[in-house]
Amino acid sequence: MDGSETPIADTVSSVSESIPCRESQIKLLLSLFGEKRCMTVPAIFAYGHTATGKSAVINSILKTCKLPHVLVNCVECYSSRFLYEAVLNGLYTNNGRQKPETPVKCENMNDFVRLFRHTCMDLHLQNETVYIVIDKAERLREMDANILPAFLGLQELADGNVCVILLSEIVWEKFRCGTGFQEPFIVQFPDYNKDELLRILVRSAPEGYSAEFYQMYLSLVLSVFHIVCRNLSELQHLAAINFRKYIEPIKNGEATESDSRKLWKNFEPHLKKALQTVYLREVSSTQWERMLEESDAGKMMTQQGLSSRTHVELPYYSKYLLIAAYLASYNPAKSDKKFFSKHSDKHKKSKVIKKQERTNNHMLGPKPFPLDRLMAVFYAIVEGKVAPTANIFMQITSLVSVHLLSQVAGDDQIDVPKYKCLVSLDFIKSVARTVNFDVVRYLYDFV
Amino acid sequence: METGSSVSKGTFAYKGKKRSIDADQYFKRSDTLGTYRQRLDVLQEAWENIDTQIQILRSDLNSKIFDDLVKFAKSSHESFTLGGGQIDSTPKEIPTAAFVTGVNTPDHGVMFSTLVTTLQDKVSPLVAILKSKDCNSVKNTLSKTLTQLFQNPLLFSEDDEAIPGNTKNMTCSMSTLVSWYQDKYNTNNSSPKKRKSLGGGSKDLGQYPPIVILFEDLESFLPHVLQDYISICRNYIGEIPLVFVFGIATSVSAVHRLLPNAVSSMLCMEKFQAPPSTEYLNMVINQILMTSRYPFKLGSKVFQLLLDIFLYHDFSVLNFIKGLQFAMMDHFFTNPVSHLCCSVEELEDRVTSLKPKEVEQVRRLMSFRGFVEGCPPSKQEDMLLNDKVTKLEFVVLLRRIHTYHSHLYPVLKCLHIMVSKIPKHPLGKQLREVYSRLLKSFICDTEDYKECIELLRMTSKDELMDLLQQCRSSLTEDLPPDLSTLPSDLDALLDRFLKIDEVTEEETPENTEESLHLEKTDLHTLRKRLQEEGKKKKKLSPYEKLRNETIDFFDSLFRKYLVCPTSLPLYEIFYYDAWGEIKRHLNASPRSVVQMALSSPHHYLQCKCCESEPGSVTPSMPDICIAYKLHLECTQLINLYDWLQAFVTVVTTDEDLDEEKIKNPDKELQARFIRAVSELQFLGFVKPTKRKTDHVARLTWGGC
Repeated sequence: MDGSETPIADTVSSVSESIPCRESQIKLLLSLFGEKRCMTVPAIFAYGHTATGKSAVINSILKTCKLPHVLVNCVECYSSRFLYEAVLNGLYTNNGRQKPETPVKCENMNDFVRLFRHTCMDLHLQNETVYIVIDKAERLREMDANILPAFLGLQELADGNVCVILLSEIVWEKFRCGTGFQEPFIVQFPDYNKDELLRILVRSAPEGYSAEFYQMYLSLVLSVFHIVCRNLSELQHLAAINFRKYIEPIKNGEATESDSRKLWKNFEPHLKKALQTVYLREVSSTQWERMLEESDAGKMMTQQGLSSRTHVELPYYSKYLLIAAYLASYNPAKSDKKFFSKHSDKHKKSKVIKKQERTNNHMLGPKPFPLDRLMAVFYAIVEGKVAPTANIFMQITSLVSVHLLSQVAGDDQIDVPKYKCLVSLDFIKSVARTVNFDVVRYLYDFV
Repeated sequence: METGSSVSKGTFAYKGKKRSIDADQYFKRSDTLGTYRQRLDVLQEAWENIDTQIQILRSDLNSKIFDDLVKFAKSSHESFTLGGGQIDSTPKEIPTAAFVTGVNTPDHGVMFSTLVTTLQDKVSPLVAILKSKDCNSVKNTLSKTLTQLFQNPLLFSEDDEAIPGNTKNMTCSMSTLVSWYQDKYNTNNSSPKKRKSLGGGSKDLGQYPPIVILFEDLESFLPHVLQDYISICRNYIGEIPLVFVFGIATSVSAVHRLLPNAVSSMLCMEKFQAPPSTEYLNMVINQILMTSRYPFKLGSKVFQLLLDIFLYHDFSVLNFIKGLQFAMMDHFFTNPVSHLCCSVEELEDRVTSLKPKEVEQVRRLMSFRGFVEGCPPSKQEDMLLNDKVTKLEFVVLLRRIHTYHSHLYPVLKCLHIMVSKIPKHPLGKQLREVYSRLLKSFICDTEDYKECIELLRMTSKDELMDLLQQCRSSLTEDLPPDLSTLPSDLDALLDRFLKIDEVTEEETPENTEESLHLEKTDLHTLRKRLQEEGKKKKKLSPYEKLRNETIDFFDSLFRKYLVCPTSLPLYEIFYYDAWGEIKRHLNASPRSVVQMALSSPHHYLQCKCCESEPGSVTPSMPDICIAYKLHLECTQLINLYDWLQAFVTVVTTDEDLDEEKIKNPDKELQARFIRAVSELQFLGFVKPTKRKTDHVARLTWGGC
């Protein structure tokens, strides 16, 4: 058919038109694929970071050359049966055939090999290479032990012209956990460098603005963000949400497209602010714009926005319980006497010993503590008399359910449950401030 | 009996007949006056009214945030077309609403179910709600989503044959959903009739209604399940219009704790903040408790207790409302004459139909006795003996409470406005705090009130006028006749304040001159002189005069209307203040109850034999109490044999006490002891330990 007749060079140019900066990989893959009826390597392993064009390159090659293929994403296949059935059913639908009346049922690898051969016969694909693309291939390691070796040697097992392409974000060395592997052919997709990123990003220039102008804008964005973020899709997102701000002076008639200095001056502080929320994606572009408008009115807004990001309003006793949990998590149990007993004059003694072997508990992370200790600390710090009502214990459970605490041992109340506090120092400081409690004074690391 | 016969000697549990409780019988037992029917009717009617009002409030409160969410869900897939995914080569993000709901988790269930119905009404019939407890694996999550979408009753109102019969046999994957959706909403699909029925007539849901998936408690989802689920959904975003709503109790940062960047970059999040639950609580208090519409009221202690539970424990309005409902039920249940707690219109009828016994019951109310003692002696006799006179008096008194309520709340709001801006808030920041003080005592006699009035006498003109303006605007609802002149009075005062500028101008220079003159002296003498000046100079500036007049006006208004309800005769009929009862039911402390039962069993058994000083052990007590009391004397580890000996010593009476029996107690005593110990273990006081043989560990600390 015409797909195989086109010389490789043509295909390369047509594919790389849609996916720039990936010519060498495309060339390599195409030469591996060869002619339709030629045998291909049994397995190809393509790896590279997210957004380096793995799936895009392979998909578009398979589509442009009209090769029989099936795409499976391992995330969806929570059991091996799903994987088999997805491949077999996909072969029908992806090749323009109607779905079989009853979807293929396949329980194990043995059946799969048999059914696969049968399907190829059915679809008259004996003389062509069939490609099975498995995305997120690292998941295969967690499935049945025979799946990965079997897929790698599928060509041999099925005795047909089939090529399995595995896509993954991690290196092949990490896949070698069992035995009986046939080594696949490894293709690496390296990260894009700055120029390449620019070339790719510029392709999505909005209408009404010249490519040079947009390139200018992108190089500004990259100059700020490239240090912290090299992920293409993240940069695409950033470029998209910040463009409106950049062109604001032009829209207002204060500057022209060539007035790059002026535009930069207006834009720079804004970008610095945006830098604080890279990767968070907490706002959609429309909301981001709204936030910006507000922040123009009062400069403090974004700063506030950041601190309010983690602010949580809690009931009064929950606050104290959380503080008590924090203290119990980060103070050694020995020090409780020093902090909470009313008559202790062992200050001098303890200080001398502890000077030497003092490791910062905040470096080590929270330690589990039993419920008794939590309650003891709670009663020591809380103001006024609090009856140990069911509501107090209920609050511990609700703190666990919102993941401010976590239960580490003991499933019921009788079996001395243990907890850990999961909040940060800054968070607990802000909670303590609302109840006028100086939490730092009670922390072992800070006395 | 036939079914129970068996070779084995085991015990069999029989499922008894389900006995439905007969309300009549249940109530009759505690009903001395035979008024329970009336009381039940009044309760049910009153609660129905309050409940509908609460529902209205809830929908009002959430309407704004729900509108925003609906708008978001609608707009996020406006340009969606089937097969549109192929045209757009760059993968799209899933539009996601991060809905920050607050930590009052008990309220969330209701909130989300209303959100679901709102979304189904206004956006799309395809709404699925996921709870973390159903979603412990990707498979369960997917099947939960699919079954909710497929078995949606809204979709199959007319053509029943469309229901996919067995969702169990279908493969649970997203591609099933995709093909189902495409079948259903394909434009080329030649079944316009079907489509029409989907829209439900008037509702226009667009050609491709989005599929909204709500996550009720995002924090509790297992991270890997959620990550996988989101990545799966992202793969199909080009083919079906998906919208996510994340219910987040804490803050948006929870999303980042759950999801790595690789997954969170698949989402396009927009944050929505639900109104805080305190706002809802204020609405409930203002519109349910602080209104003359509903005659039932909470007394000061109960009100404070319910507020405390809310503020200190859970922030849950639902629990507050439940508490209110419980208070109502208990009020009508325990108070035999509570059927008089009705609206003014029915009052007269009810009082005249009172039976002699009931009249007697009302007479016994403490507040009425106090009232009678205050009457002239000639009247006293009539009040106590003549039912007819008494009934007339009841009507007058109960009417008085109704009018008192109708006056109270508008004036109380004025007081709150006046004092809310005062530094340090001596009377409290919130209206509910002022109200709680009012319930407790006559507010105008408190020191804090006097302080407030003093401070008000020093406010500047702008502030005072602002306060007046606010008071004026708060008096919008239809006022009772006595207060009908209040708005115009306030208007007149405001008018005078406006005009005062012209008058004052002449006198101001004089004042400044004098103060300049005073500056040279030191602080102490200055104060002294100023005090003297103040005493001597009676003449105040017109503004100050008017200010004093205004404050006096308000003061007398407050003193007249803001009377403490407990000072009114027959207030018990409207006010419920059984603090202990509510506390026992709503803020229970199981631990102290268990300890109480074990250390002084006579408190619950109400037997004479066990009555003793705390700490002493008597053989008449139940075995478990004896074992408990003995274990209190032990240290962390308890030797079972010693414990047994002590137990035997206590249990056996003095006569047949001998060495041999203590050392080798008979089997019955041993069995009794072991039973007591295992009961204690069940209650969590001791547990077996491996640290030492024949020992158990104590799990509690402290003696009796």
